[in-house]
Amino acid sequence: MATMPIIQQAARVNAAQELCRLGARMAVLESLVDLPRERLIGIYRETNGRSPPRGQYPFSVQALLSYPVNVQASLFMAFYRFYREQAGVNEEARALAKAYRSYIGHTEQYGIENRVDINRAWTLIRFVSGGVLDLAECRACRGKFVRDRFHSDSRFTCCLCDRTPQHGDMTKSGVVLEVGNPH
Amino acid sequence: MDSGVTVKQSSVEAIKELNLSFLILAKQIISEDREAAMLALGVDSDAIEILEKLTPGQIVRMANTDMLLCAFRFDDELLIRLLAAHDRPESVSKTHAAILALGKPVATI
Repeated sequence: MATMPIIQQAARVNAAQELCRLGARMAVLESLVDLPRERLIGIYRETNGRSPPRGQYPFSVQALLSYPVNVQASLFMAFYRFYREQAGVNEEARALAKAYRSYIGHTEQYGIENRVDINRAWTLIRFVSGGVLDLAECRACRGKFVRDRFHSDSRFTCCLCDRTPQHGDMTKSGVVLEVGNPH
Repeated sequence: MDSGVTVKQSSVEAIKELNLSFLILAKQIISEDREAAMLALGVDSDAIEILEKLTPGQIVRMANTDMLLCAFRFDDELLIRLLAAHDRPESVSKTHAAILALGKPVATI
């Protein structure tokens, strides 16, 4: 740390701050930004005006596999892969932040209730690269969708092509209606 | 430049105007965020670099042609169908279209 060039340090502080703005918790900051833990806590505090929450962040793989969260998770992964593979963004922290900003932009533009926060998005990336989850190509639309690794048969149809009845809206009111709650 | 196509003079003027708007907009998007510009414009980093270096004079000369400089981005029938879909809520059709569009390779030069 004492010998780290100032500009390099500044770049890492910027990266950490951007992730904090997007709602990242300490686990994400610590795995992506190479700064001492105390500094990361300081950046979190200055950005959010409070101390980072303690404890594990709840995460369920199952939640990522059902509609509409599966569509949102697949959309996030599409942005992430675009930045990594097509735009050549190499640093993990930047790729995550850029993909997440684009993802938020899309959900806000179409009034979609966002069910994948940046911490879940990061876990999603790790699960896909670690082989727990898979990006499978739908045989109908050829889009890539997040799927459980155990169901790796080649005849996969995504949840958007699969359902014959019309899909519930992904906006806040739409999703509430879909689960059968009147308000 | 003359491409030899016969387009009405009023349409030619409209094309030139659109070319100019397109090039100016492209430069503006690139200056805001290079990687996001690749996504918005659907072109690779080489194309971005060329556009980035264009001088105002070059932009005006480039725009001054009867050929439209921007082309239809998606030749995929499904993608066009999704973007124009009316039978599903917009939140669903636009998200489906985005997932498919992001998976397509950007244009290279």
